[in-house]
Amino acid sequence: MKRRTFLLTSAAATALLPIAANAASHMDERLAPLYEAAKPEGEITWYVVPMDSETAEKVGQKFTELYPGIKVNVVRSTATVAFQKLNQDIDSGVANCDVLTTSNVAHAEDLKNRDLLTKYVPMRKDEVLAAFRGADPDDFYHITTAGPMGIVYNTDLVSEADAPKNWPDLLDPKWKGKLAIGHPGFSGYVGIWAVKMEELYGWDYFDKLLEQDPYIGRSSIDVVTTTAAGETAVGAGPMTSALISAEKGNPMATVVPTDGMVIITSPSCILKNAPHPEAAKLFMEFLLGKEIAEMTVEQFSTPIRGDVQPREGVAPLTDDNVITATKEQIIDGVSATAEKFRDTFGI
Amino acid sequence: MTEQATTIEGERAGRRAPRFDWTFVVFALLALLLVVLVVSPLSRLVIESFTDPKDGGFTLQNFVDVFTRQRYLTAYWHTLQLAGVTVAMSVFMALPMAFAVSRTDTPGRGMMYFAVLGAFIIPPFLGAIGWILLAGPNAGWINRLWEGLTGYEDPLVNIFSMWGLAFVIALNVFPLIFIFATSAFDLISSEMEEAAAIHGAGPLRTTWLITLPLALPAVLGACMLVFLETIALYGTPALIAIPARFNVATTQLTTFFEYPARIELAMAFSVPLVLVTIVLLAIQRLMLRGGTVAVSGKGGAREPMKIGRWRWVLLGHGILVMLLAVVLPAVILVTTSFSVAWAKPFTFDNMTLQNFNEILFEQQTVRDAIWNTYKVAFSGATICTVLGFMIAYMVIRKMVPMASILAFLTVSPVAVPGIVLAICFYAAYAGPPLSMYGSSLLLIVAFVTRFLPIAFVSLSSGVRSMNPELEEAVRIHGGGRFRALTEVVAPVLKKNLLGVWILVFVICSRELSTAIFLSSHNNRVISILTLDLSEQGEYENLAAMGVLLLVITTAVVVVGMRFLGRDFMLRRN
Repeated sequence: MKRRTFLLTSAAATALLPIAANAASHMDERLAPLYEAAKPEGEITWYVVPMDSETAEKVGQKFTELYPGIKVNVVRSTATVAFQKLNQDIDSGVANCDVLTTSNVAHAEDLKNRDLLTKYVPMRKDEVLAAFRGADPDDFYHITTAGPMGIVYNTDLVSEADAPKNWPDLLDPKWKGKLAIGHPGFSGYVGIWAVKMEELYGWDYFDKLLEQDPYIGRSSIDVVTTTAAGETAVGAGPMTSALISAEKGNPMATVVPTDGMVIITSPSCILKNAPHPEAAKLFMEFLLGKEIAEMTVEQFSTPIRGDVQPREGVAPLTDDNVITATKEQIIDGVSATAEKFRDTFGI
Repeated sequence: MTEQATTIEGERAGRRAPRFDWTFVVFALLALLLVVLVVSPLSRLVIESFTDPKDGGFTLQNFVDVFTRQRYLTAYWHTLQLAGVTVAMSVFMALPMAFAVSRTDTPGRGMMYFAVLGAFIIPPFLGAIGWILLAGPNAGWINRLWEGLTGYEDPLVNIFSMWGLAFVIALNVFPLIFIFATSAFDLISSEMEEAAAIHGAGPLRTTWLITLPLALPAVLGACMLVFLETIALYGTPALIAIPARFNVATTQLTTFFEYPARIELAMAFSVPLVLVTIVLLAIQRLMLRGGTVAVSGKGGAREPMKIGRWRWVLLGHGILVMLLAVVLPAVILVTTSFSVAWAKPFTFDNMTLQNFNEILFEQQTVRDAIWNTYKVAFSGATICTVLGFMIAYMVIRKMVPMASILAFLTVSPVAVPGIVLAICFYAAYAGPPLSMYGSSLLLIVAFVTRFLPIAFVSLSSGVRSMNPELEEAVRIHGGGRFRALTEVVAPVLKKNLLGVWILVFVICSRELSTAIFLSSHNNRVISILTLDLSEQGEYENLAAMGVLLLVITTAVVVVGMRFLGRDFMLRRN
């Protein structure tokens, strides 16, 4: 309660100081008319994928602190489940969701093509790093988070020197029965990772992975959990979750692969039948803003803005340490790769 | 229902004038209800599986697609294997305990009863997580102990295998067999066993020749339910079968709903599972044909059998099952819920109350889900018990010529995996004109349909084991059917009725598969939240939620048992 009061006070104080109200400030003057329009709507429902529910709830509370009077209903699930639920809403004629943030851009593109999204050009559109701008040239969706997939390992079982250095190192026979991966049919992150691995190393990579007798989780986060427990020693997982796990005291560390982390960029979009359209627009601005970036870097996220620095331990993105998938690769590739994966691994 | 009951009670006993037969009205109402609950949703299965999604025309292509993929066929085969092994394991766990508790002088019977109850209350999800921590091939507590003792690096037990999966499911479903077997054992008069004993048969022979055959129909009925429960289970396979790379029908089914969803293939894929069940039902009916009434409402005195040294064997068995099903998973769960980091040893530094603070005070979604879960479970259990009892009575006493149709309709949903049932309900009622999507009512209706068979089968075996003479006595003295039902049958079967209510309440409070596609953020239940949390690997919060769920459910069960007296738990001499 105290923290909340403090934040409210500081928000109000900032609003009173015109000097502080620059482009990145949280009581952005440009947003004032939007906030006035959104306030009567009172709430917003956010379907969110690329963060854990704890962080997502905190993000929702942060929004309410910044824009009092607008409550956020947080509905967190994996990409496949979120898209399934959204389609159920659509099919049954129920308008629940205002804003969707998903790790699979193919879902946003699909909604756009079915004419289910609202076009919105955020005022903060160009404040993010150039690499994250213009995901959709028609402005139906915008990249709001970025997360790297890297190599994670259990520090009780593996020394830093022995840890895998790049993706093919995971195929070393010494990891047989001690390796964890996620499932591209469930996880958006793993889907994109698998597409890129096939592109770089051919399907042979997965045939060899099968010989490693890997533990296959559903979500990419499961890889971190399982490796933290010592059930597996190494894995391919989301580095943000691994760092959160390490901070909680688990024996967990990450490696930036020499051939590159796979960066997963997650778009957000506003539904055409959103029950709270003005609040949804305000929320979109919020997702691109500095406040949320400052908050989520505490949870080891990779900021999409240049004016927020990642926390220590989070690898900065450079030109030669990242692998990125094009939108076309994701839209065309993930489903097909997941199907091939199922045939290879039998599940 | 009460109106009709009063009408009949209001009539003068022994009046000879012809009167309106209310049974047909009730029959019609029940039939109508079953159309809403069963026929309408399940017909979607047939319609969608033969429909071409593109033009809406008739097609067989969906079935061709399903039966020409090796992976799909393997999933069927795996499911059959899994269900068979699970039934065998469950019988091995449940039957000796049921026998010990109900018929013998084995010590520790109260403990065994609570072990079963405990096993039943632990949601499959939580049990599975507990066992992953216990029997994971590398980090599992049991395997680490094994390695420490023997030096062998190869794991002693591997939960990520078909056997591990079947074992975890069996630990969760064996109470079904126990409950059915004890309620059958309880109604067997010990006069017959005494007769066998007088003619020189020992306890083993008496059990084999007299007790077990009498309880066989109930046990087989329960085996069927366990088989079908296993086929329909999604939560445990999602946690264990996927890492084990053992694709079963339900994990396969969810893949059809991936983007882009192929509902018609899922429906076609489900059809053979439904057919398997119909065959099973037919076999069970054939086996039960010509069964004799050997258990009556109130038999003679029931003395526990004196079984000598065997009671120590039964006691040992009971303790082992209790350890595996309740104590070990519960200990892991509780320690995890108080842990900062669950993978680290449970030392003082690693202890916290933060997880409970998080779910109770910080996350509104968790509180909403808890409230919603119990609302749905309470309504579902009450409706299931009342409906199940009425239908069971009409069917067993053959009150109307077409009663067997009611029975068939009531039992048929058990053949449909919960996940498919959810899709059927979704197709039938979620959208316009009813637009029930996101409402608790939709969940309640789906849960009732799904668990009515359990209430029905259980109460049928109760009604069947009652000698009709008791009701005939009421009729002879001028009482109506409803009077016989409310004043004789229900009181005699009150243990069965409450047992069924608690049974359905507990399984409703943890049901996952049926809820998956019917939950929006407005009507989420704990099981759905659990699924989300487990995907994220937030085991500390998950365990805290699990502990809370267990505490509330246990409290409800204990209050229920108090209300009914100790007679419900264990018969006292």
